[in-house]
Amino acid sequence: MKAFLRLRLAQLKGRYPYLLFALSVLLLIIVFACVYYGRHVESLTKGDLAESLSFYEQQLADKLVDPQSPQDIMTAGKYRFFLDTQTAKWMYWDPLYLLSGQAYSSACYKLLVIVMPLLTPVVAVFFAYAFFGEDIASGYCREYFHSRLSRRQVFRASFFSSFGLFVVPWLLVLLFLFLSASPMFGIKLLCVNLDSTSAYSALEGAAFAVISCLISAFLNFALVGFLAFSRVNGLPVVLPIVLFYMMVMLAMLWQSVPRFSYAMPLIGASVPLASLLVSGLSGVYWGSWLNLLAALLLALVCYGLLRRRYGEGTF
Amino acid sequence: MLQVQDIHKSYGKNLVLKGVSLEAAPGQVVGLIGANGCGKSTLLKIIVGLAPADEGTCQFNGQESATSTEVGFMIEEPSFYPNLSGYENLSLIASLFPPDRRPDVDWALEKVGLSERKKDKYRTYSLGMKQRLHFALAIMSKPSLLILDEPFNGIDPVTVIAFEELIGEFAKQGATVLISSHGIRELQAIVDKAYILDSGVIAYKTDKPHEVDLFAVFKDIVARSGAGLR
Repeated sequence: MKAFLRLRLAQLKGRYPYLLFALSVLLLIIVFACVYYGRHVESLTKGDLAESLSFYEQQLADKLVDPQSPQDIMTAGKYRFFLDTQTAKWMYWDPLYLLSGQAYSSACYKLLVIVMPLLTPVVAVFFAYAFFGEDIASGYCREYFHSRLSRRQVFRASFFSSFGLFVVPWLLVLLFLFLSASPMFGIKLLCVNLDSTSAYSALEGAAFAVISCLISAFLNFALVGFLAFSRVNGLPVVLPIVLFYMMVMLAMLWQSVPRFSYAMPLIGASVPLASLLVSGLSGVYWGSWLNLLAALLLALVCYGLLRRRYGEGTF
Repeated sequence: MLQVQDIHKSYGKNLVLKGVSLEAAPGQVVGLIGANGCGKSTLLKIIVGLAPADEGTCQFNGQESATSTEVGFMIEEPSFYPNLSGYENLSLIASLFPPDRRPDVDWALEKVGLSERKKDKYRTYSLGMKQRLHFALAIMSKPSLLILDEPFNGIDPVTVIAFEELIGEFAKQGATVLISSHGIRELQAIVDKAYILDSGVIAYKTDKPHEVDLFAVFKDIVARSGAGLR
């Protein structure tokens, strides 16, 4: 593994202009998103908040009161942060210290649960192809056999060294966002979706997003590796991305029709990558765990089929 | 001693090798001749462990050749990192070897005449230089079994002669060399034994390749099987 990490560093040496460019773009996206969300949250507090709050207050009074446990009646101090899935707007409940340093945390939180699950698979595909996929597609793997490592050792080392190269800095970004969003973890969030309203802890949402990101990155690496066996130029890069966005667009389209909004997790589950994204996007539905489970099962089936088709491929 | 016995291999419904057997003794240079797509490369890949066989065994000195640490090979087009130098490419692969078997990269580069250009990036190499680097990779661990698939492709006559000399040198030192090539005349000059592979089976074998016209035999086999251009 140590030798493979040396290999990766040597590869980086040859690719640094592209990687520098990719990382700069990524950094710009994150900075832009931070600033944008920060301002967005602020403007909401000044404008639509009062109207939205009165709407939700009524809605919550109608729906959140559980006759079995009267202590769960909503109070202003308990539920302070809102996600309206129809408008994708996030709002605070407590207007008194809304602008005093909370906007940054909420921007980081939003980045973590919405942007990162969206961005992770795409960046993972890029890295997976640039290192692990290319090892197979360009035949570098064949040359590693000179050292008489077994096929399994070569694949494992190539996979994990590529994955490590991606996931370590990525994990730091996730950790940074997670810690930045931590002031929100003591509060609960309300998720309002047409005729249903649910509450969940902000910490659960953030943890779910981090897990989603890591699993989707892992699946992407595996998928690209197996697709690389097919030796069709560009397929390892294009297919996961196309599948990914196609399913996302489809899920969003369906969700925009109120009657079919329930179908989003079902559609999302039909493709593991998109499902993970949709899970992350919807972020925090309790149903997402089921969705994630379905996605993982489908990913295993997908893995099995690909392995059967290409796993015995030669170099 | 390399012993290949009854190898079968198929890709989907396409049966590529149908019970191929061959032998090569230490110090022997064995030639494998065949048309494109007859299964030569597949057989060599199976011997070195790059592809699994459906049936049959390949052993070298009593050990499975696929896992033997004494094998060096040059199969298909070379695959090196274009942004690294020839020396860096070989060193990286050398670093994957266990410390007690670490190959001598400088020695290999000198043998193939690339010492002068070893610090140049691989992408700046000519086709012949790329082949030489590939050859250096195959020999850098000083293997006892050397498998070469089309080693003379795309190289000039001077390099062909240099390669032939190196192959002879290895054989003299007791290594077993198995070469596949389209260049029957070039092959005939250096081999001690020859096999002709046609449509996945050994169609001809001789221990005295210098005494027969291999080209005429090959032409005859191709004509009989109808494996020529269709």
